[in-house]
Amino acid sequence: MAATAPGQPSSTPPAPTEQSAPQATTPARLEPVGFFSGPFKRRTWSELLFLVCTLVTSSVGLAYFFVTIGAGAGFGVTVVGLYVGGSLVVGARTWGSLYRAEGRALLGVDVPAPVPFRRGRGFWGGMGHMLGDTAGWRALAFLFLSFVTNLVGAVFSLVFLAYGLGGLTYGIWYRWLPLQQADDGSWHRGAQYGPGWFVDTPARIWAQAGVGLLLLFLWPQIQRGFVHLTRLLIVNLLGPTQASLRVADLERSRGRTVEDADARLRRIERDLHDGTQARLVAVAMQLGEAKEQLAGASSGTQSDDPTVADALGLVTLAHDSTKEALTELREIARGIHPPVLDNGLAAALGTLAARSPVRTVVDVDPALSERDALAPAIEALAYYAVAELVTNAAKHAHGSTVWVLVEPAATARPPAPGSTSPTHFVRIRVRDDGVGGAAVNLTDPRPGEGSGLAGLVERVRAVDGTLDVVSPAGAGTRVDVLLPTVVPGEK
Amino acid sequence: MRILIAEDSAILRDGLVALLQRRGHEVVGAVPDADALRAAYADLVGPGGAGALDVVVVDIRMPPTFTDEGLRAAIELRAAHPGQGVLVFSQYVETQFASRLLADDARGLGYLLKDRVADVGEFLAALERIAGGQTVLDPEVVTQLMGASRGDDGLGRLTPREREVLELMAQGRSNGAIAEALFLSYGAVEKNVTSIFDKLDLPQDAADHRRVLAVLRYLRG
Repeated sequence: MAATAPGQPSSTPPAPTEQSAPQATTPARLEPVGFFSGPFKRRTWSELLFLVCTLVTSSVGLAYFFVTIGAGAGFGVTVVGLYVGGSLVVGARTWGSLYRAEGRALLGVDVPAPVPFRRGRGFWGGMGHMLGDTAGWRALAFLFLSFVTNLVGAVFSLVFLAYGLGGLTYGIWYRWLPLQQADDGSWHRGAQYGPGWFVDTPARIWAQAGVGLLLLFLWPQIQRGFVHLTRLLIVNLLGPTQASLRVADLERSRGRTVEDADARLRRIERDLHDGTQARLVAVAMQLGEAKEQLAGASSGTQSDDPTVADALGLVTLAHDSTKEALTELREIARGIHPPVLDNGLAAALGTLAARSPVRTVVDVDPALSERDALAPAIEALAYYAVAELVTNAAKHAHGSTVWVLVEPAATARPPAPGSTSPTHFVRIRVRDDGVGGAAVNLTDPRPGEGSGLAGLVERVRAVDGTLDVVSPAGAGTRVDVLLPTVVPGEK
Repeated sequence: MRILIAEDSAILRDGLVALLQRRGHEVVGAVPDADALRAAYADLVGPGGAGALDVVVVDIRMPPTFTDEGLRAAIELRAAHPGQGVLVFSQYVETQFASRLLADDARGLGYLLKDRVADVGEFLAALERIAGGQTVLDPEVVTQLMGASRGDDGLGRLTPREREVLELMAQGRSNGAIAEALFLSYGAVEKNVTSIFDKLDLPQDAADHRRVLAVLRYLRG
């Protein structure tokens, strides 16, 4: 039986898209290569190319490593030295991206970039962020370790390949070798492996070719082992750490929660508007008509029929209640989500200001009214913040005017370390000329005390925004809310 | 009256049509969205044939975007056919919508909350006034416009009583109706109106709707 509860919205919320936790690494296991097919595999040759390429980059990278350590240690006693050292630590990330690109192109290791570097606030904050940049230090460690594995790997690989190919083709080219005289005075043309032992008889030449063949087939196996060491280094040192992945994952799910909540509120308002409100208006209209007809009937017949008078009274009562219900419902719906927000923040705040009990001057930067300047959830939050702050000002400030300014924030505030949040912000400044002296416990507001503001602070923090109150006694109150233009963790 | 209705809620649309027909008006069309409204209007009126319809009733929030397509259609329609009586109605009153609607000639325009349909007699009277070229604004619209222009010097000089009178004037009421609503004598209302015009530096005029326009022009400025 498929009975649905009445009043239940027919549309169900869109199921959150199932997203697996981001993979820290591509599986880093040693993939075996066939013994006989090895030399003919494309992968084998691209690994060789990787080793040859990194022969060059590794040595420069090692030099970078030593310069960084040397500069940091040597000049670290001076502020400038620390700054240079910090810059070099952060600069090591570039090496990381170079090796990630090489690894992706030639080794098939797809490692995501670590969380982007965030500049700290101020000189010391900026230096602290640079010197403490985990991704930079990990890249430096990689530069040192990978130099060893790459160099040894390249040497082994090239030696095996050269001996293999050389031995295999020895029978062809040994005749152009210079003549050498053995201890017994005989002349030989060929490689000399011991005193008087030359590879110039057919049997020895064939043996040489056999050894060459063996080395050629061993070459991919040896090479794979060394390349695998580098691959492990790339995966473990150049990708994001588990902790930062966890932060990014949490941020994403929190962002989704914020957006889901916003979408749900919009849907509730829409359902109210299309269903309940429309139906109530129709009912009120019919009651109004019924009332007029009954009034006409009772006055027209001049009868003292008490039923008609009673009915008129009841219908009038019902009519009035319905109209009141409509008014209440409108306020509730507006509180849930003002639909005019779809016409931009400026339009919505215009109505808000006009309905405010104190004189409210709203100034919204035109750039913010453009489509997609703000994510819908941020726009709704900005509206809610202004509404809450203007209400507070009207209630407590005893001032003459409230000024609301909404503008793109010129300077991006550095978000929490490790955060992948966006860098564009919008500033909401609500200022009054009232008594000031507002003491607000923002970090741990007690329930019931300034609960509206406490709820606002929570919602602002849920998108990595900030709220600052400046309220000197007698000089009005200024509240600054800084919000990112998109919900962190969402694209 | 010949009336065209654009309203996306079927319940409300049907109710409105039934109500108007019972009161002896001719509903020449009832459509569910702005595009259908444009098409129906073009069909009914044709190029240059203004006056074929007395009032067009338009819901602001209609498909497909459910924002302000009704309002845009109404403004468009008024631009193409100046003087066409249009009643815009909505579940909410938005200051910016009111300013956009009243940015041009306000004669024969109305902006009402949907709730006002409940008072059938008053609603029909409002439609008649719009058809007659007057301006009808919801009390809520007036309050908001007054609120939005709060702090202007002229309005600040008004006494609370004069403010009340001005609000009622802005709703298109006559002096007699204002006197009745505020329990004042006709003469007292006249005195207030004269005082308002003086304080707002507006020339006095006998015609009702021109008072409204003067007030609105002031409110917008």
